[in-house]
Amino acid sequence: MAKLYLYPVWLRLWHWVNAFLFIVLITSGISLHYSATSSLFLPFNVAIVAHNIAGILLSINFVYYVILNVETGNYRYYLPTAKNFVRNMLLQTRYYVWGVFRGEPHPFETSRKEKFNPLQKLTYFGIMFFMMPMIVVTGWLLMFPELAPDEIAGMGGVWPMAVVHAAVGFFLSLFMFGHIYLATHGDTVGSNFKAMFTGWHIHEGHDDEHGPDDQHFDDYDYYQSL
Amino acid sequence: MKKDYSFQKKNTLFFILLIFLIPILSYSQDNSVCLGCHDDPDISMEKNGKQIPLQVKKYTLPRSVHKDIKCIDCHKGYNPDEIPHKEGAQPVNCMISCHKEPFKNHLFHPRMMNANGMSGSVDINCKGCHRYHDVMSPKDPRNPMHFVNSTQFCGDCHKSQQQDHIQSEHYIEVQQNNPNAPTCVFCHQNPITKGYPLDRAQLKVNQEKLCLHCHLKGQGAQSQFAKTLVAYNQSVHGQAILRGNKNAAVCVDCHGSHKLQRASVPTSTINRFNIANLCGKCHKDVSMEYLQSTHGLALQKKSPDSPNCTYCHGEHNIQKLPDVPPRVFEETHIRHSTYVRNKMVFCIACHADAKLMAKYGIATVQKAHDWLPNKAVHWEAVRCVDCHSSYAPPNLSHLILPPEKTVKKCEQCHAKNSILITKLYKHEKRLSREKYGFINGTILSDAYVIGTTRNIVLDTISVIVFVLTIGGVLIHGSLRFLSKKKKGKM
Repeated sequence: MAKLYLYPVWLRLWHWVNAFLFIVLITSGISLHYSATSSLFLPFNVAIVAHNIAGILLSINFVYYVILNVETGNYRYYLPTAKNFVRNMLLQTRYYVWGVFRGEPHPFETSRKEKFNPLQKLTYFGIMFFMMPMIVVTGWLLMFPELAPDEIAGMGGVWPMAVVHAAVGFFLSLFMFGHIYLATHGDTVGSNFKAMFTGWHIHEGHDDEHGPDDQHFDDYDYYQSL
Repeated sequence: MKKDYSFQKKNTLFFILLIFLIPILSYSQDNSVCLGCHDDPDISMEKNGKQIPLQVKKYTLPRSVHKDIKCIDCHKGYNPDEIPHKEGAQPVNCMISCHKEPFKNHLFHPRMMNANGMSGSVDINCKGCHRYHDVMSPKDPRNPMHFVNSTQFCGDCHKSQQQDHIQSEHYIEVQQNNPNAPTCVFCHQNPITKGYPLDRAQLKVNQEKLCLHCHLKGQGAQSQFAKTLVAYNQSVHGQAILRGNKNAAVCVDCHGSHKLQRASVPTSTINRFNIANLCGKCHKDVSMEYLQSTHGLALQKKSPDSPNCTYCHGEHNIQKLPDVPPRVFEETHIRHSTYVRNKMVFCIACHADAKLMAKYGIATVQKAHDWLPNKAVHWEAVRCVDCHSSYAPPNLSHLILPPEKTVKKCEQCHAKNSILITKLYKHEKRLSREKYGFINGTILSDAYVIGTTRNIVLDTISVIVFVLTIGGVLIHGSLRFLSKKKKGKM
């Protein structure tokens, strides 16, 4: 049995705060989007304040995440590998549409060097380094519209911001559903959820253990060597 | 019977002594004795290398308010037989024996509170104003400090205030010997200047009360001086000063503290052509917008009909509605209440006047909106300024545009991506921050353009994609469950 300490405290803290804020933002965001015709989930005046507060907190949490990623070198886990990119993608996709039903093992086993499979890497990379900045920036421009341009191509400057914000928000909510479902693909349905609480990734088949006490694990040098 | 003459002898002796003693006792108290020498125009003394004249003219003291006072009452301890009369003689101090509480009568110079009356600048030195032996009663019209003369007297030091005051309406009343006309001392004996140890807001409240004391005959009763002053306390300025806002405008902020002129005087701060600059002292942005507006430009060209700030906002919060002929409401089918609610009545009052509009070659409101469909609905929902002002931050309605620049295309309003809505949204956000502060105004702002993210195509696609995702997850999950179950059985 392999026991890997993959998720340090700062990462788990960020992850669960982010998860909670995602739920608040999606719920209030949908309420606001449909507020003209119906009152889904939350009444308008509650939804807008909840969305404002959760949005500010999400931004702070995202800045915290970026700083800690740079500080620890954790961002390297997200960088897609160019080598055999297409082949790896196909292998992972094949596993999800075929191998998983036949009980095949994961094509890319989680290790200290590779926390994510190639599909995860690509998705997380896009989410964390493109979609999150986009939704945060457009969110702040909607909060401080005086910073947004008056006009964009003859249209009012706020409308394109609002549309991009809503579209990215929609994709992020889709991601959240996909993310939660794919997290059930561990050794057991709950093992990945448990790992995100304890920090330990447990995988049957190896007798190996690397924990937070393991020399260099949390060290900058270790991340640099990845 | 032998008569006892001893008592009579004693009395006679006493009276004889008294005849000799009276001149001796009264010798040094008689002013004529002092003036025997001091009436001489050549009498002087040397002090610190300077010749100081010591002449006191014979009739100076008898004509003064101190006519019954002897020289030695003030020049105490002076010995006429010795020269100098007293070793280490000090200047006369009015505050020692007679005027012990001078501040009571000199409230207009608050620095006098801690003065000794002997030294310092003229405003805290008795002789600086009252001079020496020719002190006169303030009620004496010959007195330079008499209320009729006080502008000139105080103006010796307060020159710029004097220049302002002699142009004021108050001074005209003084010149006409109106005993109720306010003079320098009349106003300044109240705690209204920064010389008093009071905060700025309290000083302003005092200033306001002082003016209203004459200009308002009690609460809610107008005086002959200001017809629009009755509801000042309910005005935005009156309310602000009551809340302790030290920047709130009180009477003197608009009318001036000394140069209070009638509005009809061209140099008056409240003259109709100067009003925008006056209000702009505090409301800079609004004033700048107004001055660039079509009305502001007309006013700068001295158009007598162009509206200024007070035309819409009132003078002292009295917003008497302009008279609009009933014909206008019949022609346009607009309810009078709508005009009043939207403040359009101020615009309509002039813009429905065919004669006035013809004077400037402008179409009347009815003719100018012939093109507008569903007029009744538009009149109810849209104010004049919604289309006719720039909507440029920070204010929505002061930069009134010329006709060629006004909103006239339907899509300028009837589109969710309109520039108009963008500007309104920005305005609402800014307003929220101004009202509730930066943090609360940002978090609690409920500014949101409802439906701005809605699009029938995108909404449909997003619902389909969402359903497919959930469906895909359910199918995938079920298949996984079934395959695992099957594998377990094998």
